[in-house]
Amino acid sequence: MRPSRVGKTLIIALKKDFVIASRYPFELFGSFIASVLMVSLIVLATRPFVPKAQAYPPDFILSVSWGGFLLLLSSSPLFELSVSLRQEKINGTLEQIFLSPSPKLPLLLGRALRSQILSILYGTCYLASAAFLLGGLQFNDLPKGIYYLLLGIPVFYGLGLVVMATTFNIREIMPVATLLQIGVAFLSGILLPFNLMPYSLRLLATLVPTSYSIDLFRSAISGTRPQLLSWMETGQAYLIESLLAHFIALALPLAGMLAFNATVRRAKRRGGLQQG
Amino acid sequence: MLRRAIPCIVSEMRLEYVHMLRYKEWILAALLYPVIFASLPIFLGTWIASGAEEAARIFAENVGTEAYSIFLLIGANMWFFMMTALWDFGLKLRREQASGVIEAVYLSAGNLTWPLMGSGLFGALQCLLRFVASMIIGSILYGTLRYILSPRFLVCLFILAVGLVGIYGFSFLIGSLVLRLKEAFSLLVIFQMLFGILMGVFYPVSLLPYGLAFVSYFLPMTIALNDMRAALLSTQYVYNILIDSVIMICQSLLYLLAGFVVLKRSERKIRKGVGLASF
Amino acid sequence: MGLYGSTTEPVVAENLVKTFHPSSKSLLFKNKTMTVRALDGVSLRIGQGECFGLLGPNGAGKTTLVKVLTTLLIPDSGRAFVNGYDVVKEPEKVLRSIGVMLTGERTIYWKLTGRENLTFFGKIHGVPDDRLRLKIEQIVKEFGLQSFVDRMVETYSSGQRVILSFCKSLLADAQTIFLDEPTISLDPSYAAQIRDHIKHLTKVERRTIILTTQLMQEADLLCDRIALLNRGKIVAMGTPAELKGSIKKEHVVRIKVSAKDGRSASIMNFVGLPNVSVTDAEDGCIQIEVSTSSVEELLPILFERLVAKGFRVHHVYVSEVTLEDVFNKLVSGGA
Repeated sequence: MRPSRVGKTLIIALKKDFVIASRYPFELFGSFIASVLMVSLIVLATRPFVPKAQAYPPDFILSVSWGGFLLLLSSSPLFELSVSLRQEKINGTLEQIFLSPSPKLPLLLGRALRSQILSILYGTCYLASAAFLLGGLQFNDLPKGIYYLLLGIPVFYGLGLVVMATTFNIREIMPVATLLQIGVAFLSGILLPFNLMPYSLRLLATLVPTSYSIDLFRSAISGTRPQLLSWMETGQAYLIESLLAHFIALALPLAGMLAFNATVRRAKRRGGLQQG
Repeated sequence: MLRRAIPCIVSEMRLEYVHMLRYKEWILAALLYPVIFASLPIFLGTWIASGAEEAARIFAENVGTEAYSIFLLIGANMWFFMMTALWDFGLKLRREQASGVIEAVYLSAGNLTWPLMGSGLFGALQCLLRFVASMIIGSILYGTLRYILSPRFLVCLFILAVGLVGIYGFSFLIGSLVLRLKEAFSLLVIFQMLFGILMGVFYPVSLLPYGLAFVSYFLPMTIALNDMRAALLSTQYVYNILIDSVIMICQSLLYLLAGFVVLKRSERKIRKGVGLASF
Repeated sequence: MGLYGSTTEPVVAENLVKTFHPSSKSLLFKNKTMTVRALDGVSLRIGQGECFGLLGPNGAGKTTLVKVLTTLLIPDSGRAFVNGYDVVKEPEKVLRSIGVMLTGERTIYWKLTGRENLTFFGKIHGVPDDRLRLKIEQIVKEFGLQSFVDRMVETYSSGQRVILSFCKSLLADAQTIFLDEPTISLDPSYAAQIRDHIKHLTKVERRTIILTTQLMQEADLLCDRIALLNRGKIVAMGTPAELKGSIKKEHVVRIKVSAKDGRSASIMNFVGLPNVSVTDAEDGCIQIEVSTSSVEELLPILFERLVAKGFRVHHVYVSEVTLEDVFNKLVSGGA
């Protein structure tokens, strides 16, 4: 499969999905409102735990601001990939996609990528609202943080592909996708930093592929040591987490693509692509 | 009218029951979601206060009870029911509109009101059962089972039952809007966030600015949520349980009536325009 | 190009078997499964420029066969080649060389306009941009889509969606085109337009069309050869004439004549043929109905005698064997 063909197909799919998205204007603008409301809810939810007339602790501000941003960013690959596949089945267009000689994954990724681009905008709106409500945005080493964030994106997509492959025939995908999104967000340190998690959960988090890039991102933003492998020395923890994050960023998308191709082949052998 | 309505309502309830059995994953998810929703403020709150004991102390200072995990669990459950009611009606109507079933339902039942009522009744029954199960799971997790095992829990359930009537009536209003606007998803997400804020899902409404707090008492769920906590955790009722119950019942009936009226008008307006199945 | 030359036989299928095990799958709970043998050793060869029809009752395996040949399904056993490419081992080459219209109106994006749908599907098929633009304009003009092609598909009627789906299959100018019930939901004028276009594609442009349809008259009109499927097997295959000739059926001849003296009995005696029924028609005429296995022998005798006796013949109707008769006999077991 030539990269230029993959790229061209991706652009065609992205264009199509943006045109469709533009036909839901309320949804496009409503999501900005939703991101403002989201941060308001989190701030209000934690207000009863702050003594009267006191401000929020700085590490809390850091965690909530960037945590929400990460949550919005990670939702596209985890949630949208499986849901968009289901949507194509419901629309009856999944078989049409597979009837084209173009690469199939880029055609299915179009919607998730469109959602990703929009979620960056919504995330930015979220950050701005958080900064307003919590009294400022905190970050230490932003360029390094962005690097680790970008490293995490292929990991999320790889995981999303594996999930898409596994849930290919599940009819009611919404509860599964939502639970997964929340579960991964929880265990990856998106919603809660690792140092707040019970030890048993932190051990479990080491098995979640997205945890490493998220922990390195948090570490860069907050200027603290990595929290996931907290029993190791700082230098050692950095090295191991960095190696693992890079390796997973390469391996997981590949594994996801292989899993997806195997699932499609299995579907063609069994009931067909529209089944389920 | 009753002779027509009752079979419609019962059939719709049976249909919802069959649907529920076909999507068994949802049953489990529905029990776990409120526990997961509550976990986030519990963890964050414990973190901010640097420990569970300190968190309980500060929470008691601000809210009037140390049992923050139960406080938040009740809120998370009510929020989930609000969301479920909104999504059930909003998306159900939208889905039926998209698939074309809505016209068939309308033609068979004579209107959309009775089928929606059946759907709402089933949803409300489900909510009651889910609340009990979810509260038991959450209480075991956070070591607060003694609250669930006390007789006050029954008072809490009674208040929930009254509050649910209003929730579903309110959902009819929202559902009508969805039928008109057609963009269900984003509208419902905004409503769910907005109601979460106004209802006081994770905090007492008194924490809100005066204007917002005033508005929030007009929502059917706010008083119910406040009073459920008051019954179980001995915090303050809005007035007292009797007056609050009367207000809730009036609000619930008002919302139910308003919901039906708006739905009927929307139905008529759409039929005059492009038709119910217009996607 | 291998053993199955694409220029002479664009579609070759050998002993295709496909079994389904339908069950409702959920994450936690599994339900009961059944076994459905959708294709049971199907073999066929379709020639270049042929319009080949697939007929059969619901659940016969027509759509399953189309999906195997268009690479959407992998057969359990057997081989199939489309334009010389193996459908299992070379699916992309197959897809590049065919056009497909699947049944149903939900195979296009409802939140895009007709033109946007055609553009999108043409592009992902690999049709170059400038050629695609011209092709879309040509299709719009030919099928009279100007009035709705720039509206969103969600505003279309069922027939308009079907037309758009059909047009989508023409974008790539493929030599082999699969059409799954192309005239369903269409009004007579659109249906006639599609049929004319299919005839043009096969007779003039020498493209190969594989057509599934429930309409016997359509298959009779369009198809050079037809395969009749039932429960996953081909029960009959041949030209429409061959298929019709394969079943013995009595013809019914109905003649309306002016009554000479109005008495049926005299007609009966006059005709002197067995299997005759005579009834009085509403307009004062008499209707004679005769069953015969040989119309060519009966008609001249009947006419001669009637005219000789001074009767005026107003109307003659001869029922012929139709594909529906073939279908009923071979599939339902009826006469």
